[in-house]
Amino acid sequence: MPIARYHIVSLLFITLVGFCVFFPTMTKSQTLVNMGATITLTGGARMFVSGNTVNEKGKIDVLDLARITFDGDVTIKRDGIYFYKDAFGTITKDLDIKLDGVCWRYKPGTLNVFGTIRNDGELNNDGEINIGKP
Amino acid sequence: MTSNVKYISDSTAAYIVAVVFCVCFLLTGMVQPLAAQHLENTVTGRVKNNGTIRFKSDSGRYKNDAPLTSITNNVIEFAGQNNLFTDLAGSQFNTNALGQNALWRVPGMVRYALKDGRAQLVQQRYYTNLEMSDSSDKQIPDSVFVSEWYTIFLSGPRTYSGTFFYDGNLRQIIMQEKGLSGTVNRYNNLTFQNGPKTVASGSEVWMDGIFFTDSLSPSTIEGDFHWGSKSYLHSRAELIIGGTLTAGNDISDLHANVDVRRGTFIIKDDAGLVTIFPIATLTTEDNVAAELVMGKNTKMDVRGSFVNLHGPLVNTTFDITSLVNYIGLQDPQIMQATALTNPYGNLRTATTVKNASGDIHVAGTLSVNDTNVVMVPYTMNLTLGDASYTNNAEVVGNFRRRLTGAVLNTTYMYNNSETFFQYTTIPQELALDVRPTTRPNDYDMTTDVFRKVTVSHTGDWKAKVRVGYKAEDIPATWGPLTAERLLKIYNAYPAPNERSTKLTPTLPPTYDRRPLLLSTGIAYVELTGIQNNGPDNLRLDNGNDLLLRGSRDTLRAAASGRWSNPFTWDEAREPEPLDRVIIDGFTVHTGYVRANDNYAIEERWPDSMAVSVTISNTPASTLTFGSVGSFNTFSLVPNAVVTLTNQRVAPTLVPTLTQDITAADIDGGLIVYPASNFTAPNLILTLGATAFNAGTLQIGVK
Repeated sequence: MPIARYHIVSLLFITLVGFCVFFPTMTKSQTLVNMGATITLTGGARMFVSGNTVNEKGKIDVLDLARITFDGDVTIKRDGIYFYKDAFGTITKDLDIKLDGVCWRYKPGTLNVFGTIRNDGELNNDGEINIGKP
Repeated sequence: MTSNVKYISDSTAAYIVAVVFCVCFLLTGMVQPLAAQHLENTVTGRVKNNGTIRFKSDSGRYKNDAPLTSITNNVIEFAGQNNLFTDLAGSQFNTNALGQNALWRVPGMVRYALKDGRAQLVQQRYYTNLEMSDSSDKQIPDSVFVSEWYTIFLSGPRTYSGTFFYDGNLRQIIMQEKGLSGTVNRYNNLTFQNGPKTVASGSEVWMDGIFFTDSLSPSTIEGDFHWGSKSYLHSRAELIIGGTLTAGNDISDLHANVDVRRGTFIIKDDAGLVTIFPIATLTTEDNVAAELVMGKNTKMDVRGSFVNLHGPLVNTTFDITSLVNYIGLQDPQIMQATALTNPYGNLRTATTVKNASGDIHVAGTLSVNDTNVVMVPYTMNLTLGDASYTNNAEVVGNFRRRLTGAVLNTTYMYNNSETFFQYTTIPQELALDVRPTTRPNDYDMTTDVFRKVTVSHTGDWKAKVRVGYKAEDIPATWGPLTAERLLKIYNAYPAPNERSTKLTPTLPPTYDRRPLLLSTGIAYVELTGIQNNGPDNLRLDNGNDLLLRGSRDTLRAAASGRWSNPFTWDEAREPEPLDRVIIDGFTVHTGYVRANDNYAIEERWPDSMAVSVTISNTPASTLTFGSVGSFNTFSLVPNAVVTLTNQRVAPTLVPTLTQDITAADIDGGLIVYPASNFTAPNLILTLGATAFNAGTLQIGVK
C-alpha cells in the first residue's frame, strides 16, 4: 500500500523529536574494556577508541610519541592510564578516576580532556592537562 | 472529488525512513554535548600537579572536596573568562574550596591567561603565586592575597578594585605597576602583611588608594614606590640603591621608621600631610645620596624624630613653601639642623621645649608656639621671613638674620614677639644672642635686667631697636630707686674690662617703653638710632651686650622745652620727685607754653619737681617759671636738703614783665615771671649768677 507524503513528513517529524528528546541521555556502549591487561602504545603508534573506555583493571601505557584518542568517556576503576614522555592523549568526553584508579601524565606532553575530570583516586600531572574546550 | 494527496512508493518511503534513522543514529553517537568541563576532586581524590592544568572553557572550575594535603600544584592556568575555585557543590567559601582563606591558600601558581579580547575575571582568593598573562583585560577584585610572587607577563590591562594584599612571611618582590592615574595598570589599595617586602631596583610601583603595612612587614625600596592617597606605615621602610618613596596626595602616617640609606624620600608638590609619629624616626643616613625632598605646599609634622646623619646637610631639600612642624611631646624635642644652602622652607614648633642638633637655617618663616626654642649652643638663622610667637615663647640663644634684600624701616622680629630691629642702615647680617635670666656684661643686681642680649653683625647697621624682657628677668635685688619706667639701653662691654655706656643716640632720645604690668608677659624698651659705630652715646659694639638698666641717673636737659615734656630730657621722661636734674645749654620753661615745643601738658609734680636742680654756666642755660591761670605754683621737693644751684651769669638783663612764649632760647639763669610762685628749700647762686624774679620766689620751706 502506498504511503502518503504527509505520512512521510510525520514520520520524519516524530523521528527528529525523538532524537532531540533522547539525544542528551544517549550514551555509547563501552567500546574498550580492559579487564587486567597491559596495553602499550609506543613508537609513534596511533590509537583511536571510538566510544567509551573502562579500565576495570590493568594498565594503558602510552609512550614515545604515541597518540591515543578516546572518543568518549574514560573510566579508570583500578590501576590506571599512564602517559609517558612525549605521548599525547585526548579524551573527548569525561575522565572518571575511581577510588583505586590512577591517571598519570608525565612530562613532556599533553593530555586534553574535553569534558570534566572527576577524581576519586589519583591524578598526577607532570606535563600539561587541558580541561574543556574554549 | 479529486484528492491532492500525492503518493510515493513503499520502497521510496522505506529508503527515506532508513536514511533519517541512520543520520539520527550517527548524530547521537557523534554530537553529544559536554555537560561540564571541570576538575572535580572528591574527598578521596589526590591531585599531584607538577605540570600545568589548564581550564579552557569560560566556566571551568577547580572543584575540590579533598583535604588540602591531597593537593599539590605547580601551575593552574585559567584560560576562560570566569574560572573559579569551588567545592563540589559550587560554593567558593566555608568549605574545601581552594584559596578561600589563608589556610586553604592555593598552592603553586595560578595563571590567568585568556587570549581573546574579552575581560577575564580574577577570583578573590588567597594565592601562593599569581600571574597575569595574555592579552585580555584582567578585572582584579578586592581581597586578592599573594604570599609569594605576583607576576605580570605579557598581560592585557589590569584593573584593580579594593585592596591587593602581599601577605607572605618570606621576602616578597612587589610587582611593578606603573599606570600614572586611575586604577588601570596601577594598584588601587595595597597592603603589606606578615613579612618583608621589596620594591626591586628598576621597577616602579604606583597606586591610587590606601597603602597599609602591618608591623611585621618591613619594606626595602630599591625602585620607585609611589603612594596613592592615604598611607599608614607600621613597619620600617628602608630606601637603598637609589630607591625613591613618594608620599601620596593625602595623609602619610609614619608609625615606623623610614631609613633613607641611599635614595630619596619625596614629599611631592601639593602632597598631603606627612606625619612622623612618636617612636618613629625619619633618618637620612650619612650619604649625599640619602635625600629628603619636600615640594611646594607640603607639610611634615614631626611628632617623633627627623634625623639627618650626613654631616654637610646638603642632602635635604625644602621648597620655600614647605613646612616642617615639630610638635612632639618629647621634652626637649630635637630639631634637625639644616645647611645654609639647604634650609627649611618654613619651620614651626609647638608643645614642648625644642633643642637643635646644630645650626638651623630657614628660608621662609619661623613660628614658635607654646614653649621656647633653646638653640644654645647653635644658631637659628632666618632671612627676611616673619618670626612669630605665641604664649610668650621665644628663641633662647643665637638668632641670626641674613638681611640681603631687606627693606628699610621694616620690622624684622628676632628672639621673641617684643624684640625687633627696624633698620635705617641694613647690614649683611645681624644676630642677637638672647639668654633670659643670664648675667649680662657689667651687671648690677640693684639696677639691671637679668637678661643677656649680645649683638653681633657683619656690615654697618643703624636701627630702631626694641628689646623684650620677662618678669623672671627682674631680680629681687633691685634697689628702691630702680624702676622699669627708668629702663635705658646701655652698651655693655665684656670682661676683663666690664663697663657700660648709656645710649642717647638722639637729643632728646626717642625711647618707647611698655612695663610688665601693661604687657601680656613680655615688656619692652625701644630706642631709635642705635648703630654699630660712631660716638659712645649711640654705638652698640659688635659682640657687646645690650644692657637694660633701670637706675635713676641724673637727668640732663637734652633740648630746650617745657619741664613736663619727656623729650626735653635725656631719658625721654619728665623728671620725678626723686630725680636730680642738670640744665646745661638749654632753656627749660615751667607752667606755660612756649612756641619751641607748644607742649601744653602740665607738670606732673608741680609741688615736688626734683630733689636737685643745677643750672650750668653755659649760654642759654635757663629755668623759667610762668603760669596759666591758677596753675601758677611750683616747688622743688619740700625738704631741707633740696637745693637749686644756679651757675649761669646772664650777659644782659632779661625782660621779665611778660612771659616769653617765643621759640628762642633765653639766656638768664633763673627767671620767675609775674603771677608765678616758685619755692626752693635752698637756693645757691654762684659767683655772678643771675636770678630774675618778677613773681614770687620763696627760699626755704615753711
